[in-house]
Amino acid sequence: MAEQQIVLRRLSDYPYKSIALGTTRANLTGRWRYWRPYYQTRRAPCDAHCPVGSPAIGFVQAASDGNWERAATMLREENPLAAVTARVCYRPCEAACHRRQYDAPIAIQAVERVAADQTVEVPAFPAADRPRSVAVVGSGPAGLTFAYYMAAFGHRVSLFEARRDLGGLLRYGIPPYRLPKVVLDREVERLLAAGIQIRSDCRLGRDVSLEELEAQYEAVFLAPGASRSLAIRVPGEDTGAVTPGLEFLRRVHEGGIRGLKGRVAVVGGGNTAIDAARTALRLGADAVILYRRSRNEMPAHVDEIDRAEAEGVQVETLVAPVELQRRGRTVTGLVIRRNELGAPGPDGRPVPVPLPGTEETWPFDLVISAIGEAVDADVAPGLTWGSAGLVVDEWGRTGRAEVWAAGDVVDMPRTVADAIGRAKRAALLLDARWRGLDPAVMLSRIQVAGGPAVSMAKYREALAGQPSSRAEDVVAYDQLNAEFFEPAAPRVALPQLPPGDGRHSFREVVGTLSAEAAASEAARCLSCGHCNGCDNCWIYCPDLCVSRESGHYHIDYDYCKGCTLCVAVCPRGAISTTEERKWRG
Amino acid sequence: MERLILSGNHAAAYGAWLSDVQVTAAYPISPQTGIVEKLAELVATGRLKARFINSESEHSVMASLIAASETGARTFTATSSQGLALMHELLHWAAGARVPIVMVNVNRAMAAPWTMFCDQSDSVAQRDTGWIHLYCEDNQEVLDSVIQGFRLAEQVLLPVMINMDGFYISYTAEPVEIHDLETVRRYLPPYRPPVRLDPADPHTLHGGTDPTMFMEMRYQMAQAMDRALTVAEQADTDFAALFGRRYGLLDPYRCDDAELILIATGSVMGTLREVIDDHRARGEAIGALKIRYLRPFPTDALRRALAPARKVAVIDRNVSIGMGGVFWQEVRSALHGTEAASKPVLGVLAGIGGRDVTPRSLETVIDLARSDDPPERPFWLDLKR
Repeated sequence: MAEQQIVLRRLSDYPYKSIALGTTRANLTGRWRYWRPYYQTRRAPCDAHCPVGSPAIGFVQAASDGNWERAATMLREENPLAAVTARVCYRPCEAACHRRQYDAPIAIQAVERVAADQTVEVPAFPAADRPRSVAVVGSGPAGLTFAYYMAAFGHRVSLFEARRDLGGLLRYGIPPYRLPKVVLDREVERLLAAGIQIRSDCRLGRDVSLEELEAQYEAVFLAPGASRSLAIRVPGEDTGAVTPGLEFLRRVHEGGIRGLKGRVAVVGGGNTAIDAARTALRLGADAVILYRRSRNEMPAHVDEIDRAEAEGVQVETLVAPVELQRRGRTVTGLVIRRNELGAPGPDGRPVPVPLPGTEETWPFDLVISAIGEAVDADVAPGLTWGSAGLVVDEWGRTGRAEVWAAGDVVDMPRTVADAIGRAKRAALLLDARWRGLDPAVMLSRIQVAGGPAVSMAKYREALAGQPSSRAEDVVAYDQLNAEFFEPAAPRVALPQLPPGDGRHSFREVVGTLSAEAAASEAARCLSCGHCNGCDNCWIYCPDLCVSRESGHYHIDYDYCKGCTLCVAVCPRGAISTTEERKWRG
Repeated sequence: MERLILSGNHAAAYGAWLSDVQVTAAYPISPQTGIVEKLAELVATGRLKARFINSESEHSVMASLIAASETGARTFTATSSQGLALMHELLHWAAGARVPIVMVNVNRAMAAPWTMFCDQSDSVAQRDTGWIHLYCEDNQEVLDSVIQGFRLAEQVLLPVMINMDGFYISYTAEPVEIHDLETVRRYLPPYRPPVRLDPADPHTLHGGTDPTMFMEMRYQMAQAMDRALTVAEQADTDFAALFGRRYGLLDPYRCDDAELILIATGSVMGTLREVIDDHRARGEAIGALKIRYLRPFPTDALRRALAPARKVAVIDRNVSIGMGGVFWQEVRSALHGTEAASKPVLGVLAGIGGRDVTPRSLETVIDLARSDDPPERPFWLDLKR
C-alpha cells in the first residue's frame, strides 16, 4: 500500500472529526500486561472427591449434551464397575457438589446410572510390551477392578475366588433390592471379557498358599475382603445362637433362608446392620435395630436409615444387649440395658455409658450381630497387620516384595468406591513399574486433585508422553461467579418403590431415570472449573481481545492488557492468571 | 395522528419511537425512569426496532451510545441530575466526537442534600460541554423537540440535550399528539454519517492530537454550533409545515409593546402566560419571553425580542453560586454592548429544589421589577426570612 499522508494546512483540509488513516493495531498494548489470564480446566469438587477417580463432571456434561455414548466411555474408562457404584456408592461427589450451596446438588449418581447402562466400547488401553503374570486373590470390587485393568494392559491374570460365584461382598453382602444380581452378573461378565483366568472355589490359606502364588506369579494382589463378623460379646453367644450379619445375608442369597417369622434383633448401626434388618423385613419378620449410641453416630448412610425406617424397621438407639436368653439353641430374647452418651472417646465419637438398673427383657426369635467385620489374618501369614487390616504403602504394596493389596483387607475406608479406587491405583502403578517407570513419579502425575484417586485418562497421557492437560487444584465455590448462574432449579426426584413394598419384595428400590430426565438433571451442572462456552469472557473483554472459534476461546496477548475482567466474569472459575515473567527482572 | 394522555416522560419515549431510534442505553433515575421503562416496553413489544442496552451506570450509557453512534446508528437516552453529572466526562467526548446523540434530561436539583425535586442545576452545569441545550415548556414540546433534536443534531453533528422539568412535566399527564410515523420519517431521513466506524475499514478515531491540530477541531465545533441557530430555525419551519406547530429559538408572548418583559424557561412559562394575561386584561404593557435554547444562545433573536422593553426580569430555576442565575448572566451578556444594555435586568432565583413558583410568586417579581430601585444582585424569591 502506498504511504498516505494527511496534510492539514488550512481549516478546509480538516475532517469534521479526528480520524487516522491507520488503526491502533500498531500499538501492542499487551506489553503493558502484568497479569496474564489463560484458560485452564481445573478440578470440580465432584471429581476431586470421587474415591474411584471417576470423571463426574465429564460424564454429567456429556449427558447434558445428550451424548450418552461419550458419557459412558468416559465413565467406563475410569470405573469398571460403574453400574455397581451407580447403585451402592454413598456419593461423596454429591456431598461435595458446589450446587449444594446454590440450591441442591446434582443427582450425579442417577446420571451415572443411565450412562453405565449404555453399551460402549472403551478404547483399548496401552498394551504392555512384555506381558507379566499376576495372581489376584478375591473377586470383590477391589479384585475385579485390579484384574480388569491388568488384563486390559495385556498381562496374564489369574483370579482366585474362595466361593463358586464371583463378586465377593457385592454378591453376598449387598442385598438385591440395592444391587440386583443381574446387574452384577452383567458387570462381571463384561470385565472378564478383558481376558481373565478364573480359579473359583479356591481359598487362600486352604487350597493355595501365598508362598505358592509368589512362586508361580510375578506379582500377587490380595483383596480377600473382611468377612469375619465381630462378636457382640454377651453371655450365651458362644452357643452359635447369634447369627453373624454377613453370614445371614449370604445364606439368604444362597437360598438357605427363605422366610422368617417373629421378631429379629439386629445389633449394630452400620450398613450391614441396615441391610440385615431390611432383608429380615422382606423375609416376613419384624426387624429391630439395636444401636448403642444415638442416631447421629450411626455409621450407616443416613439415606439407608431413613429408608429402613420408612419400610418399617424399628430403630432403637442408646441400647446394648447384655444377655442372650434362649431355650437350648433357640433364642427367646435379649436382656438390654440403656446407655447415655459420655465424653468423646479416642475416635472422637461419644462413648456409650451404661445406665445400671435400666435392664429390660425384649423377646426376639433371631439375633443378628452386625457390629463390624474383621479381617482374617490367617489367610496370609508373614504379612504385617495393623489393628484395622493389612499394612500397605502409598502404592498398595505390602511389606513383601511383589505382594500388593487393596479393599477391606487393608486399613482404608470400607466402601465399594474406595476398594475400586485403591485397586485401580495399585494396578496402574504396578503396570507402570513393569514398564520401567518410577511409580512415585507416575503417582504424582496421575493423581486426581492430589487425593488418593488416580485417573486412567491421565495415565494414558503420561504413557503417550503428553504434557498434562489440566490443573489439579479444586475450584472453590467463591471462585465461581454466581451472578451469572441460571435461576435455582429443583433436583430431580428419583423413581422409587413405595416404602410399603419393602415388606414383601427384593425388587430394586431405587429405579433408573429416563435418559431425558437424567440429561435435564445433568444440565443443572454449574460446570465448576470447566469452560462451557458461555461467552462471558468474549462479551466482557473491554479490549476485544478474546476471540471465539468453534466453542474455543483465544486470548490475543498482543492486546490483552491483563485487566483480568474475564477471570472475574467467568462463572466457572475456568480462567486462571499468572504473573508475567518479564516484570520479575 | 392520535392524541394520547401522556406524562412528559412517556411523551419523550414516544418522541424517540417516532424518530426510529436504533440504539438506546439507559440507567434508571428518578424522575426520569418512566422514559426508560416506556422505551423498554416499546422495544420488548417490537414496536421500536432498537437495541436496548441495559447499562450499569450513566457513564457506560454515554460511552456505549458514543460507540453506537460512531457506527451510524441513531441513538437516544434519558437521564437526570446525578446521572447527568456522572456522564460529564463523556458529554465532552460526545460533542468532540461530533456524534448526534439526543438525550432527554429531566431537571432535578443536584445533591447534597438529597432531593428528587426540580431545578436546572444539573443541566446548566453541563452548559460548556459542547452540547446543544433545549428547555421545554410542556409535554407536547418534549415529544416534538426529540424529533426536531435529531434533525438538528444530525445536520450539524453535535449532540442535543432536551430538558424538561422534573415532576411538573415528567409526572404530569396531558393530551399529546402522536404524529403519523411516515410523516415523521419524511421530516427525519435516516442518519448517514460522513465518517462511520466500520470493522471492514478500520481507522482510529479521536487519537492523540497535538497542539498544531487540536484548536482547529474546536473551532469547527464552534462553527457548527453557530450554524445550529439557522439549522434549528429551518428545522422548526419545516416542522411547522408538516405538523402545524412552531416553537422558535425563543418564544415572545405578548411582548410587542411591553414595557416590562419577564424571561423564563420550562414549566414556569406556563404559569407566567396566565399572569401576563391577567395584567394585559387590566391594560398593562407587560409580556413574557421563553428562552428555548441555552446553547447555541440566540443572542440576536433575544436582542430583537427585548427591543420594546424598558425593564427586564429573568427568572432562573438554577443558581450559579457566587454570581446568580445562569439565564440572567446569559441575557445580560447578550445585551452587553448594545443600546439595550442600559436596561435594568432584574435577576430572580425561583423554585430552587422544587419549590412551587405560583402566580402570587410571579406578582412579587412584577412588583419588584417595576419598583424604582430594583436590586442589582439576584433576588431569592419566596425565601423564608
